[in-house]
Amino acid sequence: MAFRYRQKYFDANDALNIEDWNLNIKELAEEFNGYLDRDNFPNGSFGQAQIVSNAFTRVHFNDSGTNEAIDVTTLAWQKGSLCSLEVIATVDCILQVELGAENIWTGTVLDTYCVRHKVSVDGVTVAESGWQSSKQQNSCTWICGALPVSAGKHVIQHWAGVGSVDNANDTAVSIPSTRPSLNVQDRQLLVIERRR
Amino acid sequence: MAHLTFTELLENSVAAAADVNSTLTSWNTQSTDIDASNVRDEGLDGRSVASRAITPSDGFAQFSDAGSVTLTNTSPALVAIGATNVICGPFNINESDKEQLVVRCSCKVRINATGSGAANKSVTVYMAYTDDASPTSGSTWNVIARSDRDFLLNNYGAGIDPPKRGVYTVSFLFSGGGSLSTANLHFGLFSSISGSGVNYYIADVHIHGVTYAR
Repeated sequence: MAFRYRQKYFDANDALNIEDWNLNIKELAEEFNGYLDRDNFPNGSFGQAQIVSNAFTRVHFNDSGTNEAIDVTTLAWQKGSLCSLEVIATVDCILQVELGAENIWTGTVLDTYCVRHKVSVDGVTVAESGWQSSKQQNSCTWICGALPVSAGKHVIQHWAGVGSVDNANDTAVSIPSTRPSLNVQDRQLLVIERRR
Repeated sequence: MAHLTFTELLENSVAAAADVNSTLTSWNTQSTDIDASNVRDEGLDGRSVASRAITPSDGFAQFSDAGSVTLTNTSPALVAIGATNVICGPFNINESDKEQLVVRCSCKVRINATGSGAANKSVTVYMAYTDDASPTSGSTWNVIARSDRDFLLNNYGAGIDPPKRGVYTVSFLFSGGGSLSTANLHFGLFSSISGSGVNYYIADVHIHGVTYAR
């Protein structure tokens, strides 16, 4: 805070010691040259015009309406051409992630043949849906999550996986010989980078 | 950055007017150039920032389960619950100033039919926007690309009811092309069903938007 500590005080009838004067002015100058803080500004002093763009928040977005055919012959997570974003954070921050996707099944739908989605940040899963049956022939998924990250480059990736689900333990156990096909159609990946 | 200089006055010397004026001139000149460099790191907190400086506009519209509607329209139409159109707004945005508007919407969808009556009937739900200050169903609505979701029922045979319920949820970053500046953005929920003879139901609608300015 500027001039919080007055270095020297002058009383009436004192002889002015110029060093005291210099000390006081020097203290004030130094505070202005990089040490002002909240005590110098009345509450609510800074409005939108005084703050640089994206100082606190930056929104990243990737969407697609192109059909992405999911490989229904594997239980593995797949990313194909699903949404992804690369975020370069200038300081430590929190990434809030939201994913929406539309599942379009064709062919012989099965109660136990399902799709699930997840979002990863630098390979770490931050949000994952439950299994959604192909019996809901056209359906949508929406999941969200958040992860604190350090400054630097981060990759946010949408993944999808299919399989015949064992209801006993909720895991994908097999790929049936007769199975429907899956397209992930309209989809959005929204990332809010919050810095403060 | 405003960098203040200070010309010291020296002991046992004449206090020259030039030395005093040098300091005053520096301070006078720099007084209009104070910026972030003059503030110490982590020197500001929430008290220093004016209300609505970071998120200048937000809003929401919600309709509870009791506020549901049963529809039969086969062409896309603005959803209205009772006499109220499902519209949220207005939102302000100035994209030239790098403001960013995020919109989210969710609702329940149900098709009111069982057995063969519901075969291959698909409900489509999507969002659209208008910059009409007083939006109605007759306003010019622009579809939010890729906000549409289909809910398709299938016929699984006699006596087997297909799944009838779904949840519509989307969130997106609204973009007007990068230079849009308006104070009247409104977002509405639209829907239709692919065939006649089956009605559908929409309820628990929530639309929320927030503008991130900084």
